Amino acid sequence: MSEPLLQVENLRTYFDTSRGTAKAVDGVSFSIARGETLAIVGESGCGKSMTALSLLQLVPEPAGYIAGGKVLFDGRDLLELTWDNMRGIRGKDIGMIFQEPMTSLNPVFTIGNQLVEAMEIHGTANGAAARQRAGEALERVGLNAQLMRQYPHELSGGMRQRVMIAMSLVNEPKLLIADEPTTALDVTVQAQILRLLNKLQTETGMAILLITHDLGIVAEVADRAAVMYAGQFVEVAPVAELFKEPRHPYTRGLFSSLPARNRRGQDLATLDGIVPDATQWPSACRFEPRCPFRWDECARITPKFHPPGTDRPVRCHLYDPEIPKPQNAEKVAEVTR
Amino acid sequence: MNEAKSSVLLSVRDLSKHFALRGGLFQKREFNKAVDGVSFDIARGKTLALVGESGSGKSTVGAMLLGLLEPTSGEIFFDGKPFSNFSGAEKRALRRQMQVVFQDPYASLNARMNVREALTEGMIIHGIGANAAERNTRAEALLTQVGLSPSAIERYPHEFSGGQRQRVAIARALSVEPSFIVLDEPTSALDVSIQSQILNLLRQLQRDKGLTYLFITHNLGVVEYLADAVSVMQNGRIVETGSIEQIFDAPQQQYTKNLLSAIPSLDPSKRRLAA
Repeated sequence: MSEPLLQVENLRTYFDTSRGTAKAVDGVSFSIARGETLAIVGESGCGKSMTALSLLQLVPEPAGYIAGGKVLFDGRDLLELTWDNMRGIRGKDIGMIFQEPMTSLNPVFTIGNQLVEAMEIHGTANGAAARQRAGEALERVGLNAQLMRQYPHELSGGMRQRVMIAMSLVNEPKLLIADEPTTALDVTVQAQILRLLNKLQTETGMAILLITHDLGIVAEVADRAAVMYAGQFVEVAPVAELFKEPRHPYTRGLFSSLPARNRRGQDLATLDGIVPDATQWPSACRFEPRCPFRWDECARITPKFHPPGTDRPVRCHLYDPEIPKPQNAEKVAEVTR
Repeated sequence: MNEAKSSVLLSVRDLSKHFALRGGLFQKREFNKAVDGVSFDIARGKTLALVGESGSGKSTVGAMLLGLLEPTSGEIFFDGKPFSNFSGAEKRALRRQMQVVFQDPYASLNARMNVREALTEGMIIHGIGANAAERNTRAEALLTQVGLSPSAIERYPHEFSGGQRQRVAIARALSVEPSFIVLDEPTSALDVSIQSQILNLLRQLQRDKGLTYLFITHNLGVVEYLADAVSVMQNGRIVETGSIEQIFDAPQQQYTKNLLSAIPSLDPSKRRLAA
């Protein structure tokens, strides 16, 4: 296999708070191949958005800082770059779209001006050529090129998100980071945007890092998915396998808490307890206090990804043959098959 | 002697709400028909889901049922009697019967009221509980019913997580012993693992107390799980009403079909949104 486009190693992003150091991202490693879509899925506060922001050096300062790790993109470690060099990458080699397009667009400039600026700032096109490309970019995302003269407030939420996608694509990025790109949109508009992202990826061969809380979106667009909990990945898998057989107890909990018709009349599964405070993650397995399968080892030994070096590792003692299993081993055997 | 109670608790007939946009004295008035001739029935103890996209008018319908908006035309019947015939005192009694839980409990709970005040305010207004001590006991019992500790009674909204706040909002709705609750996107702001807790709670309360729900939502997975019947709204009108099976398995209207086909599939081998 060729070298991955993006390789993240042991990324750690911390925040200094009055209660101590919040380890928002705590030892995250992953890679994305060219043309691939990796989804990071998890619930509020798990660190998925902060992971994305860390790659771009956009962690809110001064409270937040990158405490360590490597972000190798196309052969360079982005964490070693100066702010100015990083600006040359953001919006050019790495495009980004966020949940609320209105906060990403400048209300006092026309759509055309903002698209042209995105190119001129990186020197990828200027003047008439840039305007020409801006119009083409709008048409590519299913909008009329005449929209160049309009202001963001004149557009609907779905159109604004299309503009953001057009803007992130004018410089032909190798990687698009999409953080909850459809969360603020109606389901029919969401479907259009996801179709559009699929189509553009096929055309351009860009890789996509998709951040979402929605398992349905993961199933629709991702090639692989990483499930994140309490600042760490707990399970990584090709999407088909993750949905066929979620393994980590947290992932299973998420899947079985989804409302569906075949669960009518029964209680949905719930996860006991709440996500611990980021300044006080449990010292061994972070999911242990809420885990229905936990046993003594879970609170004593930090789980490692197992099997290592494969395409679907799980951070759970259930899958690690070197960890002694509990008394009710039949139950564990049944669970892990 | 009372006649046998009809199975329908709440009926809406030809309900409309038009907002004036422009025009007036010398110009033809233009209206935004937010709700335009909507009719439905909700059976006692059952759940009707009102689904549709932003701006379809579903929350406006809820607001009219609760008396938060005056209908432009049409009639709402509660227990067979039309709203318009009720006297002031009867309307007040009706308010007690009909309660609401909104999407964002942080916005719907008063930040300066602790849980005790939030839960007993309605009781005081509607004369429930003989004295403060009795109301306090009731409030603590409500907290237990919604899965919170009675000791939460002294706390303020900001001291709770999103899911806990929604439990407080549900307890407040229950504090005046309603028979009907409008649930306006009650789980849309919650993570799925918390959503499942709230859905379980709503189902259990319905079972225990015989509550009737109008469930306003855009989340069709929740509808399939919880609702007995569905009305699909578009542009202020109901385009289709039916049972879960009728709507999800055999939708008749093109709009319903479009809506259903836009839902992401949870099976990666059956992708609907591939390019």
